Amino acid sequence: MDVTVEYNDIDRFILALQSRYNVIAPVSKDGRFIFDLIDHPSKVSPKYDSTLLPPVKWIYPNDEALLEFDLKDAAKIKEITESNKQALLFVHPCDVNAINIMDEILAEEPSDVNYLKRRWSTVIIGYECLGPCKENILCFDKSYHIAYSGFDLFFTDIGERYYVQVASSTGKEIIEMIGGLKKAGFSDKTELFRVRDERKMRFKKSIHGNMDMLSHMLKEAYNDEIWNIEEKKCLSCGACNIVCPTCYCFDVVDEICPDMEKGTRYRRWDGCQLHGFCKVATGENFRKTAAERVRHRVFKKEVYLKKRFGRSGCVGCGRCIDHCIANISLIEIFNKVFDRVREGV
Amino acid sequence: MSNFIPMPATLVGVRQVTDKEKLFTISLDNGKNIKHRPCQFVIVSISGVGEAPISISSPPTDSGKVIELCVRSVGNLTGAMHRLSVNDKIGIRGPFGNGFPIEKIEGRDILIVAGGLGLAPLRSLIKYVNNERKRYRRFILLIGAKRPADILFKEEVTKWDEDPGIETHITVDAAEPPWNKNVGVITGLFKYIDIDPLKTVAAIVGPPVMYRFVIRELLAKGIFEGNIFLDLERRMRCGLGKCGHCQINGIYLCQNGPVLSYLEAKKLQEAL
Amino acid sequence: MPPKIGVFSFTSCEGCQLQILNLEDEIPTLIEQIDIVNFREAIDEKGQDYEIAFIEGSVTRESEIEEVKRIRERARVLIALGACSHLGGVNVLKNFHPQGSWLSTVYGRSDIFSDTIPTKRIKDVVPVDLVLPGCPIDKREFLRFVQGLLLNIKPRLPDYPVCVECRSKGNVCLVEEGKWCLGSVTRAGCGAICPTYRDACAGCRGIVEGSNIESLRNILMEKGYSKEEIRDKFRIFNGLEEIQNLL
Repeated sequence: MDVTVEYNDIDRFILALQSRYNVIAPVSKDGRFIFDLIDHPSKVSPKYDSTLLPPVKWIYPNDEALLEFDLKDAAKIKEITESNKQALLFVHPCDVNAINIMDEILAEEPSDVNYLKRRWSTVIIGYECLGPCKENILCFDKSYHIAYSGFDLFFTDIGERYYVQVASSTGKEIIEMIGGLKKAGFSDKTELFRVRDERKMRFKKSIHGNMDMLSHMLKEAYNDEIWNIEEKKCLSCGACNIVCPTCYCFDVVDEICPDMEKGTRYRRWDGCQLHGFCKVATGENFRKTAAERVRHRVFKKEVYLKKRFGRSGCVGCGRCIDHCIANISLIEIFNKVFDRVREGV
Repeated sequence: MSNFIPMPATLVGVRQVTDKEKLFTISLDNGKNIKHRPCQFVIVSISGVGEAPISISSPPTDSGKVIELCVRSVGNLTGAMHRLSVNDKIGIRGPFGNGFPIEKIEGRDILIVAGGLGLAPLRSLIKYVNNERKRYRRFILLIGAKRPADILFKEEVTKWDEDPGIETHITVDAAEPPWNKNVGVITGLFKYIDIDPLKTVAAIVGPPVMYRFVIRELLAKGIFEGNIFLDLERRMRCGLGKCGHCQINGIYLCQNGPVLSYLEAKKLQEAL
Repeated sequence: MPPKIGVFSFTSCEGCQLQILNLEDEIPTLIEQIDIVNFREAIDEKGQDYEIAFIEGSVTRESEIEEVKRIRERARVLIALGACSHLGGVNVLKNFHPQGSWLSTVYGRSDIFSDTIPTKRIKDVVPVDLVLPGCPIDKREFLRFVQGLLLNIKPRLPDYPVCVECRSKGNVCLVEEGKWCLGSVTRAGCGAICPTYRDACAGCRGIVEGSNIESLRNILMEKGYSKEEIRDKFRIFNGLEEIQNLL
């Protein structure tokens, strides 16, 4: 049963949530926003554009410990998997969809137990986007501006109050724990449908082409000039990979304690745009140029993941565009790919 | 359990193969057999140093519970392996990858082309085919190396060379006087072999530059693209199809490879 | 037998030596495993029988050339410690000005330090086996180097730029705000400490392989920096690197 939460009751809601979970919510940082562990409800900014890093990074953290080893006894290996109860609060639909994609990728056998353990102990509370949060988005083009699943609770601002969709048993437990929330009535539901209906008037398409055809268009453009143009701009800095909510590539590193007796094996975020990503010990680099690497990033999301899971691996959050200081834009690349076909190249 | 946890294993044998490569014989401490297929690989772990993918050089039909890894010291992990000796411990994950489709090719003529270190993974297939000789028809081996001293498993190669049941041809890029076999690139050996293209299945492993030239020779002989198999190399971290390093276009080599038919590989622009 | 280690200092602020001493929690266990025979900032002993030499500082006097050569002859492994040793460091700035002019700017008179020569990196004088970069060095990286030497593993430096570490921390990008920063072309490993504290990366760990200096120059020019300003930023630490023609 769905409920409503009055604006002025939101602090009580968050405080109650904190009693059971580490609450990770959007907070402001140097004029931008980031998902961070909050100590007080007043820190939370429900109205944010986009966060510097996507919330999924709390389920797939950098430098995650995989195991502990003993230098004196090679057989002594201690597995590390962590799961502490956390709630990701006010996650935009694009990021909810990104977590859904990560779930599919990382649950596929052989599965990633470290991710799955964290995922199972994470509650996701979504927050509806009733209009574009910023420029440089493709979520509407990809229909990822709406999340249909992958959350326990989902907030929609319907004026004076939030409509809260209760989507799982965990969500129901949370609502019961908080208590004193009004059941959503007929007028609340009417209002929900009205604001959702108005949503499509506020979003505008960024890509002038049929997104269902994008994968095919890209394959046609595999050897096109566009990648070489991107090569001149690309810094191979990996920013696009790090801020991406569906990038999951990693490196594995061993760190030894100062006593030279014990150590930890970590996984560290890695990125396919980095120059050394495909370099082997003998020195061979299997993706030498930035052009090949930019193309790989685009193809990975739009062709390879799409083929595997039946939908694009890019949710269109636009972080890679916002944070590319060289102004490499997926929107521009996709439009060029469609233009190219229109111009009959 | 997490797929990142290596199984404790013991080095039961360490032997110098050439001046650069050593052969490690490994058994799992839990007493289990690593059930593998030819051309699969394991990920070797040394605590504090890290992990690296190494192809298995021994055939699955060899009795006992050991695998053999032929390793050249090129990086930190392989360098550390070279400093280990018998009874030392390492960690093993795997076996990973698809391995060679040994069942599908029964009853065929087998042609193996091994360039340099490529003999390390192919030895698992060669020994397997040799053990199961009656299941296959002709057995042709083409082996190439830089210098005679670089030829891996020299005693075994000599044995194969002397075996009337195996048509073996060996070449080196450059040779000193006692060498009485071929000198030149591996593609130069194709003129000595006469094959039935409809019945032949080829397996090629060698340095990246070798593939294109060998494939061209095989296609010229009329072998079907789907009957040419390659065992490719990429950077690998996890073996689980996740870390991204071994991706070749849409496939993860650690899961969908490392053995690909040329028919598959030619559709992947990044493969060759 | 613990390996014998010497730490030597040439023209520098000696801050990298200090970084080693800042490993306060780790030093007690560290000195059980290594034998420090020469380390002016820490001990009185002046042993000459070291196998591993860390050299801090750049070469700015003729007399230092001979000293560096002598260390090289004795050491099995020579490690450049910190930006001065690795890149020449800020000491290279003087190379871009006539000697008399910088002497009088810095010291008020131009007739002192007559034996000063244009700044050289250690690698300009003798072969260097390993580089531990940074201004100052990262103390944890020093620890990793020592551990690597003890285990016979070549210490691996990150082969990606500072941006990776900076973005991973969820920092707001300085270049996005219109400011300069060389993090996108500079080797990581520092934990992006400068941009994390809202200060530009000046490139103290050197240019990373595969970097695109021309693109960064174009980006900074669009933000309003002149070619000369950009060149000067690169010269702070990378004045002797072979990138000057790209700027």
